[in-house]
Amino acid sequence: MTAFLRFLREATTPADRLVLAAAWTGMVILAATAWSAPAGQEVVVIVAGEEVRRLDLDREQRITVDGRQGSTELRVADGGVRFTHAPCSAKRCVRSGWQHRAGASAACVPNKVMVRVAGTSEQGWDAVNY
Amino acid sequence: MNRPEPHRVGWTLLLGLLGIILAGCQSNPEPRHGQAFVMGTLVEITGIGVSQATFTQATGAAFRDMRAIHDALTPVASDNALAAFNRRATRQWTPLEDPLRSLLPRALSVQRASGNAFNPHLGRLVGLWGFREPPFPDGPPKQAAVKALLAAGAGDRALRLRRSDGLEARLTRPGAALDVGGIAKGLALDRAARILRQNGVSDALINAGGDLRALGRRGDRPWRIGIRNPRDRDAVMAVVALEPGEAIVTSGDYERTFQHDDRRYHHLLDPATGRPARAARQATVLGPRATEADAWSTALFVAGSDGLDRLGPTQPGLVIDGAGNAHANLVMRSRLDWQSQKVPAP
Repeated sequence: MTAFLRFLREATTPADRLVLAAAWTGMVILAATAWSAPAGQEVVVIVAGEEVRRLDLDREQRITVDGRQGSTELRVADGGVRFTHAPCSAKRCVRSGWQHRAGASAACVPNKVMVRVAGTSEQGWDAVNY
Repeated sequence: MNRPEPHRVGWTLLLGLLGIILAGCQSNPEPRHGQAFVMGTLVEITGIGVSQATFTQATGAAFRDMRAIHDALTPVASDNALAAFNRRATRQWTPLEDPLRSLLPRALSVQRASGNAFNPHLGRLVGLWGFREPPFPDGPPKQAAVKALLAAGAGDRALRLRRSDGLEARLTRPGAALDVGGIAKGLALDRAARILRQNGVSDALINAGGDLRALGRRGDRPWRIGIRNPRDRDAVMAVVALEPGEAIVTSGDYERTFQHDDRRYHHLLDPATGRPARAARQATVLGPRATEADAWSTALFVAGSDGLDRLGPTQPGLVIDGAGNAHANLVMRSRLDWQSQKVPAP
């Protein structure tokens, strides 16, 4: 270690060391902001293929979005989102429950409303097969 | 010994740092998402390393093709290619056009190889059970009605193909009617993958309501897929890494269902009994083509763990049987990263 520091001191000028220090600082900031960002902070609401809203998962709220068949109600609470009301007959979207995990999604197919928790899964998979 | 020139070393170290940073960015490139409600389900396409303009154009073309397949093959319509075929095919040889022309030979091939566990012409039985579209009924049909359709050959091997000027098909039993719900989504996935590639997308994941096909890789690693526990929709039993171009398709008893007298009835019918198959809760197949994987997942679901022998040693298959036990062939076992504590690994 000491040998490396001595080499660095001999091989670089003060200006070099300043630039290196700035680069390391930048890298640490980049890692802190881009790589360590907590996933699943936002939910994206999509109607008929178009993003219509983004909701903060940390803010408890209920919203209504209009789809092909009528109004769909969504609830955001405890870092998750779920369908609470939909005009479809099967109600599979309501039964699909809470979505917390980054990358998780649920949809009301007849009403063409979809929610997807933003971010990449931290649990080791990109999609779920069923 | 010459000392390195200070500025050169400094800049080399700086460039090295930048390289590390950029390499890190490359390993986790920003994904792009496209989604559409097609084929009665939500289809999501995730693309990697592609411009937004290229991705939008490619996914638009893929979604349009999926809609065309759905329109041609949905059993709900009365004026599409499927309905036209079913009106004629029990009486005469019927010329085939796409998508039936590319679909039926592959459906027949899996039907033969699976010993009729996959049957692409259960249309009348599916209609009798009311599983074509929601809302689903409150109870099962009368057993006498099921028996009557079986007597008319609804569950027999009734599909014939021949080549004349083009490809022709017919159904040899009056109880048979084509219903390609067990294979059409796979065809749509394969064609979507081809369209994406033709339009400049080389790394993507197509997710059609839980059935998936990969293109390329997700940056510096393969696409990883969790296989859901059939009795816990929030739990993943196992994770599998897909080869570039590979598909994974699952059939389960939790889709298209109704409850009657505390019993669950689902849409995957056993051609031998005309009733929902009970040998498995879930069956998963991997393969280079989603079309065949789709048909085989249905076959494996109907046949249960015994169907793994028919699937063969090279195509990975996983069955969760009616009691909840996992069975997999050797090639699938080598691919699974088993995670479930509740379901013992196969």
